[in-house]
Amino acid sequence: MEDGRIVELYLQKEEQALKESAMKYGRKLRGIAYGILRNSSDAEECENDTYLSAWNSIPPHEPRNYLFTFLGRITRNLSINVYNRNHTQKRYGQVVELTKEMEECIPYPSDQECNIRDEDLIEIIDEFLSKLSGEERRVFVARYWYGDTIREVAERFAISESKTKSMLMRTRNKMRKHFQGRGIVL
Amino acid sequence: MRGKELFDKFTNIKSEYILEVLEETERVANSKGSSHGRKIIRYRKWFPLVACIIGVLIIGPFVIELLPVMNESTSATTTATEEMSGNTTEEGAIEYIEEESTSEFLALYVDVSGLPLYEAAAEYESNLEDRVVVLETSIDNELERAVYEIYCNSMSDEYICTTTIHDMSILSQEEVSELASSLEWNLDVYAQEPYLEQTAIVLVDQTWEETHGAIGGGTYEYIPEGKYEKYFVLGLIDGNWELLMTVI
Repeated sequence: MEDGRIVELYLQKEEQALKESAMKYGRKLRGIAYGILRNSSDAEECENDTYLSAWNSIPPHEPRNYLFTFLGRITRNLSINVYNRNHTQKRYGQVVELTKEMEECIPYPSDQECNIRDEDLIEIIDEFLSKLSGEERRVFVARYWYGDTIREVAERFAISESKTKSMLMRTRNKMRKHFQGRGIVL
Repeated sequence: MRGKELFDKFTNIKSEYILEVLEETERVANSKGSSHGRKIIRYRKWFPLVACIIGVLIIGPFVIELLPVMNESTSATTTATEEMSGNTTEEGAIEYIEEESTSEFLALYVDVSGLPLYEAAAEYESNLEDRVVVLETSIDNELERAVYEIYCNSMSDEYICTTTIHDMSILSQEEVSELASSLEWNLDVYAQEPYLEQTAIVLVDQTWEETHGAIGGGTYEYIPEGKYEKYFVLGLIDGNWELLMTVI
């Protein structure tokens, strides 16, 4: 079913919307959650919560042309919430690894509050991503948005693990310089 | 800000960047390209298939009488598989034996994840008269630099014209193990090199172009122009990465 039609079902509060969403995007959404949490039952829970959250957010949102990314962002946020809630009880090694790497992108990591609005920060990140080559950007997003392991990124794009690793390291360095160049304190 | 916060805020990047990952994933999965990973799988898929077809043709009412023929066919199958994989050797040959032997080679295999990465991506182009080595990828570590230098040092050889290096990657221990198993390489022969400290195999995706008709002369094997994957078997000897063997 087309995205526009699924969104219409949400707007009409038809439960079929949830089934159609699951049928079309369930596997991918579960993949996003699993990438971050590395736990199948937690990932499944996040997927199901995604549909409920979408149910509550449409309307006012009407993501006719971006349904997958709309749902995907919800899944990613829910997965991060699960991590935040449980990381003291359970160990989510993947998030620890990813956030440690992302810290390399920050010029002066600190516990101080960021002096920039979220919207502006996203704009700066998008600007940075737009300047990367297609391959660099895809590898970076696969790693830090989808939560792929190095091996998964390499397999996803049929490149070697060593190439993946070096590309990520350079992109992190570029991102740090990009932030520095904007003179922002994160 | 800490890395965790940046990771969280990364959620809201543009949709097109999120989607292009899936599109490329699908494209790569559908592509019939010749990345080494898939190439290894192809070897593994085809070998039993070819062996089965030939086996079925031979086995039947004449099993006992045709045992010697079956032995020949096994040898023919191996040859056919090697030809199918485009596994022509140059300068010499990695030894192919029935039972591949790689344990000693792998015991010395470089820790790929531990290799220091060069901070900046180096991009080069070397020229010698009409001959050119174009590097489309970056040199990320000392192994890739060693391979690039091998290309540059062989520029003065009679048979080389223009070579474009599209990509270089160091095979992991697991990949070498799979490849050696698929091709029945006896890599342990190279582990016998005196003073050998470490081993490694670098895969180069390259294009070879004839630019002025000099190819084909001399004592070198003629390799028609085109796109090739070339394996460089390297050994760390006395602190330097040296070429032990190349295979196209």
